[in-house]
Amino acid sequence: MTLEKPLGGVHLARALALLISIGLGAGAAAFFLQFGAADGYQMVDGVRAALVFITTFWLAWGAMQSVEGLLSARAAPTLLTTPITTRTAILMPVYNEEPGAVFARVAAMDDAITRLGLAEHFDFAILSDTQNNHIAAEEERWFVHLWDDRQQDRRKAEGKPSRFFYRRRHSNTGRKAGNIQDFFETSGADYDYALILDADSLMGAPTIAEMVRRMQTEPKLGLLQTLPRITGARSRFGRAMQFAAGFYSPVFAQGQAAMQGVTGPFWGHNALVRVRAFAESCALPELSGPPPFGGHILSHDYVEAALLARAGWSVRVDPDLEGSYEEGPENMIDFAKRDRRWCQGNLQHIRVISAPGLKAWSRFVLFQGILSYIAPLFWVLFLASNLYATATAPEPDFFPEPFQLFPVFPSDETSKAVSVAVGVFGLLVFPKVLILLDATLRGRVSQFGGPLKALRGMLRELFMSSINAPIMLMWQTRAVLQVLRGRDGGWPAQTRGDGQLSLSDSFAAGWWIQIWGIAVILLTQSFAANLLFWVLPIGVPLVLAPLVIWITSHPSHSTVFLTPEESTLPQVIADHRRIMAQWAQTTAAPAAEMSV
Amino acid sequence: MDARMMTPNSLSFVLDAAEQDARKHAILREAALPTAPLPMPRQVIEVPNAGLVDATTGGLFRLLTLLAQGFGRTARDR
Repeated sequence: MTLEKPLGGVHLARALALLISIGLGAGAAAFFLQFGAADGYQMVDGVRAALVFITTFWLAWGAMQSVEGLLSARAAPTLLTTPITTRTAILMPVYNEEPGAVFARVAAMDDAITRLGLAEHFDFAILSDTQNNHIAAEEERWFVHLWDDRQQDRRKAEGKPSRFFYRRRHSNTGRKAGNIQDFFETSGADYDYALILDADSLMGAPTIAEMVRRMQTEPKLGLLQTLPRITGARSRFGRAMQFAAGFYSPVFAQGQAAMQGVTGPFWGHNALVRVRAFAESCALPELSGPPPFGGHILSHDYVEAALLARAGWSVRVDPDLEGSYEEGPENMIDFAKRDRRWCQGNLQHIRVISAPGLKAWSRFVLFQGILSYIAPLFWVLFLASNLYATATAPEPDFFPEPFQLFPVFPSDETSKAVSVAVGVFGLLVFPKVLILLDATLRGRVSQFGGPLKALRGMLRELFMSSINAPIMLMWQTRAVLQVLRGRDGGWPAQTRGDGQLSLSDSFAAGWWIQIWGIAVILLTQSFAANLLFWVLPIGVPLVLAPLVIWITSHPSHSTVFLTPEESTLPQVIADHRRIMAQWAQTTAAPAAEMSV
Repeated sequence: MDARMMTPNSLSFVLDAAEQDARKHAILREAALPTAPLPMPRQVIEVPNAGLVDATTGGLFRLLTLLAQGFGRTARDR
């Protein structure tokens, strides 16, 4: 049995999405050109039309992914029951993380695997790249705790090999990709597959077992990616993201899967790789020159997926695989920090896109990744060019001919510009409405509290994302400009925890956005007052940026953003919490006695 | 629940600091990654212009390659 999509269907899906997106982009550009050139064609009109084409194409491309996802949705395949005959290493790379919480995740997944009676097929390797010596010492102590908790001494006494490994690299060469590569070069020959996780990943045992069975059944499958659900969010921002990821992402992922076929994605974690395939095709070189464009490849996952496909292996995302979880950023600042890293990584792909032998679709995926970070720049340019065009528009000439008796009114093409604006708004909202309708018809909506609660969730998420989007746009624009100026963002450790921000932290992060907001409104008022109505939805959130950053980091207790994982806690997450609570008790008691 | 937990001290009842340290090192030795090396050949991503852009290379690919490599050189010169 294979779950690969037929090649003809994949090509059809790609062609359909591409043609419709280009068609909508071209239509919007033509409309806008008619509007812009109504008072006579100027160079800036051509620039604006080109920008409308790019931005509309990009939005339409996103919308088409959801449409294809809905069209290609089908019942999940029956789970395999073939015996597991292989050995898998579950890799947990860590980098300056909270060791107790991370190691409790390992214990929770081990409990789940043991319950299925599959423990002998799975080992765990904690691969530390922690550079902070204090955290590294904590990791060692927590590993001893994990070792005792998992009764590894007893296992050794019974003559069985240990199933838990810990290794720390004192120099994190190649970052996460280098960390994984080091594992393969040291121990890879012992395993058939490796499940690559992140420090905040959790995966249910039935999902892991199903992935291994699919890999066993399909010898050409090199990498199988799951769609991780965001869980554990507590803030307003985090829960809105969690809702959006849970409600919309499965459909978008289904659409991607329909178009990608066997040239699918790797998102860096919660994915199973065939060790032999990965080892023979994924050792990344350092790019020549200094960062940000040279040096180690930051967004290694996209490149590894492309290299696997280049070597003839299938790379696939199976959106039907549930039971795959991760945590997300709890506030806008943490989101922006992560985005800065991704931005540099994706822009670095400019150096990779021409690598020899890559499949055409892999190149397109890399191009998409680059465009996703450059697109905000196009929006900023579009805004600026409109302000310029309005401010420099010639005065209407009602009597163009000498001795003309009756005035000639210039053709009013404003309705066409309004149509484009409505169309752009529609491309943003239309996929979400379609997904809501589909979820209602299929009954998926019940996992989100029913149709009304899901509708309220959708509307609130739409409102929040329209407030957040201009602020994100500014951060992304700054990130792109920093990278283009050659500034390396480094490799900051991810922040975890509740993420609530103080007003002063929010102001420190958002004051410059606020100044831009004030400047945009004042400039529009002074030079293009009739555009003010159109600019305010962007300008007002910018002016309020510090307040928005602060408020959205606050805890959310609303039931509006209910997700399936909140209403019914998945077993592996419940296990993680139980183990955390147990460990907190066993570790706190002696410490308390010692302090007496 | 707060993810932050205290450092485990469960062995402190029975072992003194030196013994704890010795046991920790013994466990870390036991837990070292198994030795089963698998070679990973370094992949080729960047190739010299002459080797990549030849007469058989398609137009669009040729343009993209030159753009990308030109950009790369600019970045390297920085």
